[in-house]
Amino acid sequence: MSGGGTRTGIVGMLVRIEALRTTKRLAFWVATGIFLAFNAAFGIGNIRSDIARPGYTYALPGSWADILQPSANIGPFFLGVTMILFLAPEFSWRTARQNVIDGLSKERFYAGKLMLLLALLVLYAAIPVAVGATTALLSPSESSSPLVGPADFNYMIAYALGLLMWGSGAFMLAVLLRASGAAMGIMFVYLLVEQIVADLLGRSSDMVASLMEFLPAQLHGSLAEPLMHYPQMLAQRNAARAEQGAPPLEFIDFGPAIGLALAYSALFLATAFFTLRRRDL
Amino acid sequence: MLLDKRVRAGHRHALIRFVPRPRRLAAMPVIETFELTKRYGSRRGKSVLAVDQVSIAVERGQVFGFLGPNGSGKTTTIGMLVGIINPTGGSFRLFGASEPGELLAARARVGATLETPNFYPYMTGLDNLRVAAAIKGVGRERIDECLGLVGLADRAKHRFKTYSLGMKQRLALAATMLNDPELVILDEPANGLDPQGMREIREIIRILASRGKTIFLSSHLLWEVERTCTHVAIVRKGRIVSTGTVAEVVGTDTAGTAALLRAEDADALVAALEGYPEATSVQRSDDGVVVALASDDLAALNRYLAGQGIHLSHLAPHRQSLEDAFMDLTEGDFAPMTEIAT
Repeated sequence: MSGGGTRTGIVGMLVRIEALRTTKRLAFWVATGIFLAFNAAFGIGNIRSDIARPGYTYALPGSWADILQPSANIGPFFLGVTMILFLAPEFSWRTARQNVIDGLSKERFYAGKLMLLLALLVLYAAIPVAVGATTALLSPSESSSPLVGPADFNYMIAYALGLLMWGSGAFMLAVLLRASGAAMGIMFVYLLVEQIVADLLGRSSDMVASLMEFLPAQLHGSLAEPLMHYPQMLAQRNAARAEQGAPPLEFIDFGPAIGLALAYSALFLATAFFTLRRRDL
Repeated sequence: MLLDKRVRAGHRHALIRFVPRPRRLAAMPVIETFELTKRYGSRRGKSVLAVDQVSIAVERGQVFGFLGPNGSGKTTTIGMLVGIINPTGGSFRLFGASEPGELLAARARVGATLETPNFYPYMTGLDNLRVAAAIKGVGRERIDECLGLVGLADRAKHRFKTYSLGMKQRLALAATMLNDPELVILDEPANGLDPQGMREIREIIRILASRGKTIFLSSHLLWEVERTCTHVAIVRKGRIVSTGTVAEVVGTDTAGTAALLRAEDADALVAALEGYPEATSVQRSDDGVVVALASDDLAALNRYLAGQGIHLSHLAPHRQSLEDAFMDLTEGDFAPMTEIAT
């Protein structure tokens, strides 16, 4: 009787529950609205620059880097906060406990929240693409094609990985701490601490500095940086730096960065899974 | 105000229609626990033994009262049965199932509510039931039926956070009954209800029991439990100290009787009773003197006392209540009110 026995039935049941819980929550619409407005503001800003700044063009396919950069930096934290807002109260309201009493296993509860994470990831990835494409097409400079090139595609993948990594980290914090305020606080304190540690230890040697690049927030910083994905842009920047006598900028290779981001995400999600299964509700 | 108007008006057919008659099934304990144990914390000296080797069996159709003082391990025991708390020792079976996969299926036959009602505060009562209904695999018609049953149909589209405690309890009861469970587990279902609400809860429990449902009821309201339950277990500091039928636990199924007596000279009465061969115990109480007898012959007792020159102003059979048994069995767990006051 409980929620459909087949795998399709179970997935359908989890989708219905998560959709109901999410769409009925004002916080979801507020968060989505703010993120939409944030992207719209940048899009409008780019249109204004296209009109006012000589030499600046806001059109597709050349402007994907400009479109994605703001969200690539802010979007993952936004997703993290949203994920915490949706998961931690399940423990403080004791609704996770009630779900299990009603017949949902802890594993299915987890699967439902994982689906929510992926749905939010798709939404938060789609918003900048949709808003950016729309504003670019409305801009006076004529767009030739909305198709993305390999570098644009890499940047989009990097953005999605940033979302996944911070969404998973927030998932883990929400399950571990079971309180929205504490989870958000720890997330932001961690960011601060990691930056301080990376700065301090990075000064000791080049090798340590390069190791610091592999810390989660530093890795996200690299993934969100357009210079990592657009070789021409990087070459221009390094040429400018060379003229000033500054060392060239270097980034870890995209392949290992993908692997590391996926590994962090898997670690965070696995920690959340085993914590949820082991701890009492 | 718990039941809808038809039920309050005495038309029980509303509930009888709601609860289908059970199919005849082979006799099998619905709940069996074998030395079920829960210890919180792993460090010696700092760990708390919340449930200590609890072994009980609840048969199909029983209304089983699970009694104990606050912190005695009642909710923890129920929590292990419904899968929200992991046992640290022992085992249990629900409908004969003990493996995780089987237990999930067995729990689909259970409706339970623990402690306070837990729902999404920002969602309406109806939407909260839609979540529970999706988990239990039941449709909208059943939701409406249950909302009507608990008298919440008019408030179904109001947010849960606007409900009174009594309404929250009623919504929890509606959620519990969505899947027409064979086993209903209720942990303090009368919390926050007024006397009318408590009576209606009792009425629902009786009707469910009359239709063959098994009820596992944890409550502090001993008088209510005594009137409602067929069997009880009393738990103290995590251990079962007594279990059986209500009569067995209260002690009224044993041979002999007890009597409450009053006379002008209570000291002389006690002295005389202590010399009576049939008396097994003599205790002073606020109302007089209670004597337990090996036989049922109160007339012989009266004749004996008259022969001792004691003329009674009151002689009546004295029946020990579940509350008396509970207080005897959990003695020492409650500080006297006078101590608390000082």
